[in-house]
Amino acid sequence: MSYFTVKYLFFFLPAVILVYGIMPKKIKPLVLLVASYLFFFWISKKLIFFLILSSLSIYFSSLGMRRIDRITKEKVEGMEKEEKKRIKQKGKKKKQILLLLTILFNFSFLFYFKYLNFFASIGNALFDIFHADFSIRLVKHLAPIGISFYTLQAISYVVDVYHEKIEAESNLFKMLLYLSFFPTIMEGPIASYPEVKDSLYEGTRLSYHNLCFGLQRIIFGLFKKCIIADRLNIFVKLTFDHILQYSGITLAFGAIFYTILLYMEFSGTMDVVIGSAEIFGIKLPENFRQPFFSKNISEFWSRWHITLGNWLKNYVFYPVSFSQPVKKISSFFKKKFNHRVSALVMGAIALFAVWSLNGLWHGAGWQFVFFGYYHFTLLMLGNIFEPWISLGCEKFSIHRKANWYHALQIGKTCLLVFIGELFFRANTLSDGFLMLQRIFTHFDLQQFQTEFFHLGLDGKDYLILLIALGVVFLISFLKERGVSIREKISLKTISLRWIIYYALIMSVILFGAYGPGYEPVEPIYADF
Amino acid sequence: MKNMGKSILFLVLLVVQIVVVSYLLAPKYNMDKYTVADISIYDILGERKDTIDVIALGDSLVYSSISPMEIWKDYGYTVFDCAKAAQLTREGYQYLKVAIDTQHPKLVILEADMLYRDTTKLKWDYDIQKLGSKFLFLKKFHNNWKKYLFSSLGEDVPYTKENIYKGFKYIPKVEPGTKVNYMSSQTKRKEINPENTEYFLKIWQLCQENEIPLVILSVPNMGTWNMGKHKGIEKLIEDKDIPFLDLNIDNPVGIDWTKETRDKGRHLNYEGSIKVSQYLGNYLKKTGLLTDHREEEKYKSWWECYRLYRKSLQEENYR
Repeated sequence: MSYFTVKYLFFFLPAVILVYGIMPKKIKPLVLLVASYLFFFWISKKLIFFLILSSLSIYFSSLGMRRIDRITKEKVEGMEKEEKKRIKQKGKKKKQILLLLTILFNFSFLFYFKYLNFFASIGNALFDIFHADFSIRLVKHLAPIGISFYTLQAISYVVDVYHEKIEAESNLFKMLLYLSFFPTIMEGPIASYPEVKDSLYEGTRLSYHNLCFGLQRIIFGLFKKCIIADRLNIFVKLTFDHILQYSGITLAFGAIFYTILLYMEFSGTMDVVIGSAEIFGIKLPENFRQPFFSKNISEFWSRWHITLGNWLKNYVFYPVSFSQPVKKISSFFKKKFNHRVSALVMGAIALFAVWSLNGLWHGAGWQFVFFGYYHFTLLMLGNIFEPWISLGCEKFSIHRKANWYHALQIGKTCLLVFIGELFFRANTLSDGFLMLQRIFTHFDLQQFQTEFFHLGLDGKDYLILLIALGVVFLISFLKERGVSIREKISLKTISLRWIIYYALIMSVILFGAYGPGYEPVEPIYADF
Repeated sequence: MKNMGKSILFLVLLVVQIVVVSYLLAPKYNMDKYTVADISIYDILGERKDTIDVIALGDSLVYSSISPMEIWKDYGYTVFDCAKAAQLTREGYQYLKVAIDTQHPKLVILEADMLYRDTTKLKWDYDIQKLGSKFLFLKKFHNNWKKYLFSSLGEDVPYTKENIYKGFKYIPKVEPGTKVNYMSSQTKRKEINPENTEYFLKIWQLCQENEIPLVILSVPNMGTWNMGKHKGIEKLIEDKDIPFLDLNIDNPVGIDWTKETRDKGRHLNYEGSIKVSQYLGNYLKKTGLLTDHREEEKYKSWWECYRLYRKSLQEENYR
């Protein structure tokens, strides 16, 4: 059951709203917990066991850490400074072991369900190379839904407790709800505990305002997914599955369309997710901030899948950057060269770790690994060449804040993103290279003209796409300029407001790419 | 309270808009008795009255194996696949009731695998789905906006009120079947559950009341069919005058399981369906029950459907 199904939108969500609405304040969070477990069970059946295990592991581990802290504090009272230090060190060691075990425990499930086959096939390839008469058997299995998302949340929670950034939660039900909250379980956002804990357990009363704003957001998500993403799906599928059949221009459109599809599908899902939570008065972190207005790749990643970026920054980038070995390497380069080189090297090591994990998190496949290192390379090149670009602009009197310069930067970033997404979507890494090569070597305008209207879309479909993309662009543009469309609309007269809402709803119903002849996009990020 | 009133008014106006748009876009045929909602569930209601010779009842095996247009081209018989994915016997019975209300077929073919479908599926779930299809029939017709809006733009999308595939589904994918000797005679008889037996008897009774001969057919299916099921069907019809045509025994159709199945032998692909359709056309001819309509004015639209069917296959192939 995806968030775009009739079952979710017309049965599950309304039923939860109804039960939530009639229950007393104290029971409301419990309603959300029961609904979340039902939702999970509905999709993953007995695999719910792994979600419970993860929740219990971080719950008991965090309480264990709190206990160690308390005992250490009691022990050191009235002790000599040296003795105090020794006891504290001992306590810290115990906490470290507990943290490490919890992380390993949670990552072991993720590894088993997502990466075991990938690494086993690498192992088998190596055995083949060395002619070893041995192979690892690949296991076919279904993973619990959202395991990549809730595992990261679980790790973030337990690490924050370890660093005493947050208090360990003593209420087990709260912990269970934090990891399983049904709108976020499938595709995130990856919310840290402090970001959601207040609103998640508040038991906020249903209000007309929250209901309206939540539903608006859901409808906008449907607009993006059903009209744009689903419409582009056939074109994208055909081009990526039959690379040799199509001209380079068609393949280039395939790559561009896939990037648009991915954004519309994922950000549309986030609209439904955030809108669903908003109905219950729960504020979730945003995952997108107009990424296609980014002027460079670094900015792009601060606007695209923001919560994953933040997680990697807080739990990979900083820990790696400030680890003892990296500090040593950095000071070596500082002595040998200068501060800039040292900072570049330190950044490169940390970014390498971040992008290795980012690539692998998206999937166990070489194309994802490549996708990670592609962006790592772009970021490093950006860091290395920035001083020279700045110098060049100064020398040629190019005003870097001019609109035309920004437009060029945005165009360049989009182009680089399209290439990255091409590899991301390609069935294999070699398919990705083949497609990229054909884009530049098979420029056949005549073939393109014949193909373009025979890939599941006719002239009318393209017109609808243009209009819908125009609407999304306009809204993004205004948001970029700091205008809150939803607040603006809420200030209009009721008749105008209703006309806008009806237009949105009816356009989804009429122009949505569903029913005979279309193939809706499967939830892409739910597979990660 | 004020907000509640506003919300209700908003929803009422929305429903009105949806209803108006639905009726504007829905095809307007066969509506004297059945509504567009029924047409969205039962494709056969799009056919002209009393024009269908054979009704093929079943699940995905039917729409994957029998292409009515191929039979039309070679024999001039009008066959319609009254089939949907995982159709239950109770749904099949309902479909047949609706079908013979507007058609007087000369023969009903019942695909046997449907009689082994698990019927433990909750009935309320089925009722909700049926109710959903009734009210959300726009799902099937919403794309008709292309017919009415911007009609001058690009190539006009061919649209006909009739189902040009006549219930068939074109799937060219190839995924070879690997089972060996799936019709081993050693297999023990598999019993048909009480609900399926009950609805089979209802289907048979309905055919008898309308004087329509019933034939049980088992299309080539390496995935779920076996000798146990074959014996179960034989037992079911042992005291009834119902022919049983099992195309799995000795492969009379000549299916090449390395090329003519789309999912390892569970369903046939387009190539396999051509063979079954030819075999079935020949079988229908031998019954002597049907006449060739290819030259008849009343069936002119079948030729138009056939043209669109071919064009559609070419386009799909191009993909």
